[in-house]
Amino acid sequence: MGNIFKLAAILFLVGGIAAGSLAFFNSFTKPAIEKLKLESETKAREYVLNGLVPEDKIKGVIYEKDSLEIQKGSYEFFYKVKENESASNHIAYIFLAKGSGFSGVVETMVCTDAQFKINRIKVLKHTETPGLGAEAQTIKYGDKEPFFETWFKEKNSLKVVVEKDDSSSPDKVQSLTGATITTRAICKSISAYTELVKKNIENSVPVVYIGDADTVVSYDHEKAMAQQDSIRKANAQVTEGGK
Amino acid sequence: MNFIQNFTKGFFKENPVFVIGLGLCATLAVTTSLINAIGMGAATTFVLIGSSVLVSIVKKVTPNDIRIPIFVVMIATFTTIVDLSMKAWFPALSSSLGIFIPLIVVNCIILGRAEAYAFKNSVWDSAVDALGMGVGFTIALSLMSGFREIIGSGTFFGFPLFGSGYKGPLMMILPPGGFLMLGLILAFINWNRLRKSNKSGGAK
Repeated sequence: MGNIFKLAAILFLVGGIAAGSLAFFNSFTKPAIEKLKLESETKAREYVLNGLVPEDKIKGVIYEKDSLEIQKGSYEFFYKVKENESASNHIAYIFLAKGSGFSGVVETMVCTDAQFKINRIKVLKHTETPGLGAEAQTIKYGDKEPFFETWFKEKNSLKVVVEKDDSSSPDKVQSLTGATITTRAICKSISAYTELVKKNIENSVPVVYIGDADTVVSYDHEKAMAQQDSIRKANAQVTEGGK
Repeated sequence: MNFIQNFTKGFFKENPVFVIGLGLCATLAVTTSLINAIGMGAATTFVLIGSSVLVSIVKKVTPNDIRIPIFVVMIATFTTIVDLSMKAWFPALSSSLGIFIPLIVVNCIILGRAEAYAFKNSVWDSAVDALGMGVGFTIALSLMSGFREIIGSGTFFGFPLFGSGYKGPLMMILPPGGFLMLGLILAFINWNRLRKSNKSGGAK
């Protein structure tokens, strides 16, 4: 009987040593991983914004972070873009659309103008089949950007659809050879997320949260929601009072 | 068995994939492009060497009853280290290999070598054996993925070989192509071995 305790103690010890060494190693890689993540996000944001804002002004735009309610109780971020601090109108919306592709989640960074016309998209993450779905990221020899992403330019992001599903739509997108599922996932995720963004913008009140997205360390959702609620109530009172 | 034999036996004579038949799951899955194969091979080799050496060091104090869980914890630790460093310093490779890096934990080559070799041999021999097996695994992956990439997508290390208009049999870089390629290579190796043994048999 005592043997079992001895074995358990040894396993416990081994597990402890393993966990300790991993924690030690993690302290080296964690900053690098987070820096990479932030860098790639900023780069992707500037990439999709390119064209809508003149290149020399991209660094100076203001990103307003706001949240989308994806499911009840689960939130994701999107950005409302202003050309500079004093501008009153948003010129673009940037969001990360997620949809289920052939073998996993496909994440696409999308930038639309204020009328939800797609400026540029960028497929950020996927686990699709090489040669088929993975072609979404392939840059053909001599091209500057993936051919697949250019198909989305100028389409209405609320209505974007795969050609096979609706060949009469002006916002149809050709599907990748042998990867209709991937293309459909991207189209559907874009239109679904745009719907959410639209809903948010129609309901939102001005200035819930303003800040340079890069400097945002944490975002207190409850607080922001409470703030939004109180502003909305105040607005309602003002309108009622005016009647 | 001398040092050279111990090191090179993993290359062809006891190649972990083609002869021993271990680690086939990862082999079939990641061999869609050469760069994937080499990344996967390097990652596996690192884990293999680390775990073999460690297993060999602690073999005298490891209770026999719980040696497997202890091996698995060690292998998992090394795998996590590889996973974290790839994410931090080789993000492109990490995203293309995806789930197969964490899955090195259950790659039977590593547990197989720990159990069959490192647990019974000296630290130095285990390290050499692990390095040889790792290189052998990388050779096997590179061979498979080289053929699959060239035939399937017409590229070599991502560099187009037959012009951009090439449309190869896509099946080669899809899962069935993995089985086909493995079958063809195994058939060739066995045919070659039979031919050799027939020759030597004829000389008798």
